[in-house]
Amino acid sequence: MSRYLVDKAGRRLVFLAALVAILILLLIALFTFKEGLPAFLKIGFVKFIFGTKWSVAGGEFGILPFILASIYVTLGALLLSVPLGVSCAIFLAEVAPHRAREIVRPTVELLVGIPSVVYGLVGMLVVVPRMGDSLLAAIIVLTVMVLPTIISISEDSLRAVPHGYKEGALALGATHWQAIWHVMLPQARSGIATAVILGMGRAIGETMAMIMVIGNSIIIPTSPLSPARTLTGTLAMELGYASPGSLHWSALFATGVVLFILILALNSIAFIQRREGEG
Amino acid sequence: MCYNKDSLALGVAKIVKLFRLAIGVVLCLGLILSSGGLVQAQGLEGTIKLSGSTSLQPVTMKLAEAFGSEHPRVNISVSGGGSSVGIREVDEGMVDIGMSSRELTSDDPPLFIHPICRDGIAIIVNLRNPVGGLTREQVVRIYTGEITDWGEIGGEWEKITVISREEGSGTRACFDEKVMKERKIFPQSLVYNSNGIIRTKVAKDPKAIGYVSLGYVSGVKPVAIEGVEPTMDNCKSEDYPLVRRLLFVTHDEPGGVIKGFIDFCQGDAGQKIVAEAGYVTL
Repeated sequence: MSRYLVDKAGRRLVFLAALVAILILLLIALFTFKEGLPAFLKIGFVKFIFGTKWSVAGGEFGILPFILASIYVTLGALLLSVPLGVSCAIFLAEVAPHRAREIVRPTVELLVGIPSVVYGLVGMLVVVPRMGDSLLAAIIVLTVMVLPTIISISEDSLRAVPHGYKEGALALGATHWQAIWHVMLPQARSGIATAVILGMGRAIGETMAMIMVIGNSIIIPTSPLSPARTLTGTLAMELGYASPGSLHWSALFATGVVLFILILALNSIAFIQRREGEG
Repeated sequence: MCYNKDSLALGVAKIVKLFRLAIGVVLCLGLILSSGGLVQAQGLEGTIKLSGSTSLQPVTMKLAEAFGSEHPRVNISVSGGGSSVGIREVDEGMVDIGMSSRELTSDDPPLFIHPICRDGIAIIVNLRNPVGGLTREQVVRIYTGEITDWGEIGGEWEKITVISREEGSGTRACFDEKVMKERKIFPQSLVYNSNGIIRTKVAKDPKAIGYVSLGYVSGVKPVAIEGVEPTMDNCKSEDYPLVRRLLFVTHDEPGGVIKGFIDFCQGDAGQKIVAEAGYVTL
């Protein structure tokens, strides 16, 4: 009887923990939406999303430049980091001798732990002097930041491919490379897709390192060498100056809502992908 | 395939443990040291919290340090955030004193103003830039995007990297008011949100121009405006046009330890520290 009670209490306890996690997310979402709603109502949804001017003094709030900048840096970083990351994962999973892997893998994982302000600083002192404050500088910094995520998840999914598949391919006369390219990679596809989408989530949310290298000009970027300002950068730079309840304040939270929806959409895609991979 | 992860996790756990131990030791040491200070018979004690302008932050920290060594039982914490943050937080009662590098406007809550020092805003360029002086009109035309090349104003033919502060910053407010007047800074200008970052950017980029609080001029070249160098004397006499007051603001008429600190800052000892820190005395 008492064993039954302990079991029940334990289940309740972990359920409660799960509930708290969901509740926190829900409350954050609720708060952001509540604060952002007045901006959507006063400015108008379309004018807010597609407006190209942002001026606090002029009372104009349009976030299209920020949305575009966030999308550009995210896509740009993925364009560089996915081929590099997947190649590195293939190396680690299939090619590297055990000793090399012992060194490379922990190094890659340590990269995750470096605070983003350090990446920003290195970007500011090393990358920016070569190309100016620009989208490209931000993309390069971001590429380095999402690489570890892409490498480690891609490697795990390559290793999760059953041995028999590769051995079967080799037995049929495929070379090692053919086995990797035609058998392993297609099998690990959904895992690699998850890696890409998680990397995307990290890229779009990155703030501090971006602020330090991207120039933060409120313009629609026209070339990779053009400066720009991201959604998160705007929030971080301006929230301190907005007085609660003002239109500026509400517009910043509405920016947060847009970011929230973007990230939610990305994570949903990741979730669906993973489910498909398992099924 | 998980061995590495596990050993890494173990390593991390070890580091966390060590870190906790280190914090414990530091806290104990702190307790022992601070209890030693209790013998002091000085009258003032309490805690003062300040936040606000990053232009005022460095000098305020020095003032707090000096005040703290005279009154060991006074605890002062200084954080940044920007003038508007300081004004808001003092109004909401989150801090005792707000630091503002701009004058209060009719949009701000009614607060008590205590000028602490004055500050010049230097327009800075890279050390390698041959341009040593500009007229106000030239600065305006650079920041509106009409002049885009150093060659047009006596430098080498290279595109100007224009760096500005973000809207809401006290330094930007002063620059807007005293230099730009009714003209607007063009949107292509780069925007960075601290004096320190702008100094670093200008120090690294031979084509850059920016503006920072006078206390941050090192490793970069301040340019003369209308032939007047931003020196301490020129700022004191206000011959140099870009001078502003830096303020402490309080919610109520200050008393007790807060009054003690403000009086100290405005007094001779405080003003000496102000001058040493590179700011202009009252």
